[in-house]
Amino acid sequence: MLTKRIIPCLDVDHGRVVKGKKFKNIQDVADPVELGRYYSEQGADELVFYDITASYEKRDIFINVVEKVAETVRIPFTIGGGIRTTDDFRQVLMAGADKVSVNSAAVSNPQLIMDAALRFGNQCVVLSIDAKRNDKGSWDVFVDGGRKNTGIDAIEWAKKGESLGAGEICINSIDTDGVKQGYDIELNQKLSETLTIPVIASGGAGKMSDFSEVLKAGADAALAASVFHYKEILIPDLKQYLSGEGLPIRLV
Amino acid sequence: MTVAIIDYDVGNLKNVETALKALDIDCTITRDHKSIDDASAIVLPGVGAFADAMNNLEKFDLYATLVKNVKKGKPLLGICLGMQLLFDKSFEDGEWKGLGFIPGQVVRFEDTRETGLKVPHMGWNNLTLHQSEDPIVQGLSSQDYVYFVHSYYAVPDQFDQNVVAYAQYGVRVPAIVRQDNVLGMQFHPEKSAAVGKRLLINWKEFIS
Repeated sequence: MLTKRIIPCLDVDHGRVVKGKKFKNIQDVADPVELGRYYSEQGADELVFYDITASYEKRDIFINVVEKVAETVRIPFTIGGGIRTTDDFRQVLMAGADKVSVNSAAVSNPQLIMDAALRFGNQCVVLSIDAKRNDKGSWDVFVDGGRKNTGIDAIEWAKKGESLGAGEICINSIDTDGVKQGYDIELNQKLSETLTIPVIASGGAGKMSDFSEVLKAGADAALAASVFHYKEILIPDLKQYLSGEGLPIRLV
Repeated sequence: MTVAIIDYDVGNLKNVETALKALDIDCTITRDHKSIDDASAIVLPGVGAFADAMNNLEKFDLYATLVKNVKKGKPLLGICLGMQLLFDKSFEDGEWKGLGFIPGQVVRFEDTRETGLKVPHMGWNNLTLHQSEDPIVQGLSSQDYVYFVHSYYAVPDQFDQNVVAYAQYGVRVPAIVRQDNVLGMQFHPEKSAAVGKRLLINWKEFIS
């Protein structure tokens, strides 16, 4: 049986892992390659590395990290951050990434999703969406690290992304991100019911039952960062717990 | 013992190479005919579209070389799309001829709105051993998970004969197929942690 996936996310700045709370107060945590290996051994199902280095000129530092991760880690991993063109896709895929995540660049140029899917296959195109609740009972798409509201409906954008060829949607809720009070269940439920491609829930994990809740609501995978980085939740414990909750989980 | 990893411009091949080298398997990424002829085994990796992959095999004149080496009994391992290419034909965006080493065809998963299952079949699924005596699955059990990512799956003409292991995803999805010296893995052993390593060790023993 296909299992639900647990995905630690590592934000990387100048080759080091950091974690932001509501995109602020970033502090250094660890070496991305070592942390990736650690998570893999702990039973993580996939890894995500986001390059948050502001300077595009420092890209080679990050590519070097990607190459080292590919040499070290034997589980799939996704690369995001700073992906603007199909050549950016190519660069990280050739460095060893399995999937590439696009966010703001796809909003301004949706064709990027289609071009990348045609050139490299749907399976490696992850559409990442930063969404925030509005007062109309729906969600707006934000770009530029959660700073700018596009006014685009998040569910509609996800559907469009799917039709353009995205193989997966990663939905990050700005309202719940960093607050550790649980994922946005309603958003994830709606998306899972609407889409025919897998949905990765992101933003809000604080305790083990948060994972259980969102996965039972229909998400195919749950992504989290700080609860893993600060060892508030250990992946083997989490997977035992989720398995006990009746969810299909890969136990290692 | 040298393994030729076929380079035909279908994505990154380095991860396969890294996984094999970690098991002390001497390997080379190549499209050179002599290197392939001289190799003791061949790996055919690949991601992307079936038609592009077959076109590239033709473009680099690799089709005949693969057929020749397989006929000589040389072990061939197809991974992911590389496994799908082993069959007679695929219905991915049209109808395309494959390498024809294993009788059967490649079809898309049913419309997900009917099955409730998402496509691509993406993530970790467990292997049901259909031919548990096959050396390639030695040491494995039905509790072992491997990493899949694909939207099309193989339908062998003779399921019982060619399928060594399958995964359940609405249908029985052939995960490991075999026809004599030709093996295919629909999942990514190089991305399947300890279980993938076990399978590659088994394959190493098979080709040694």
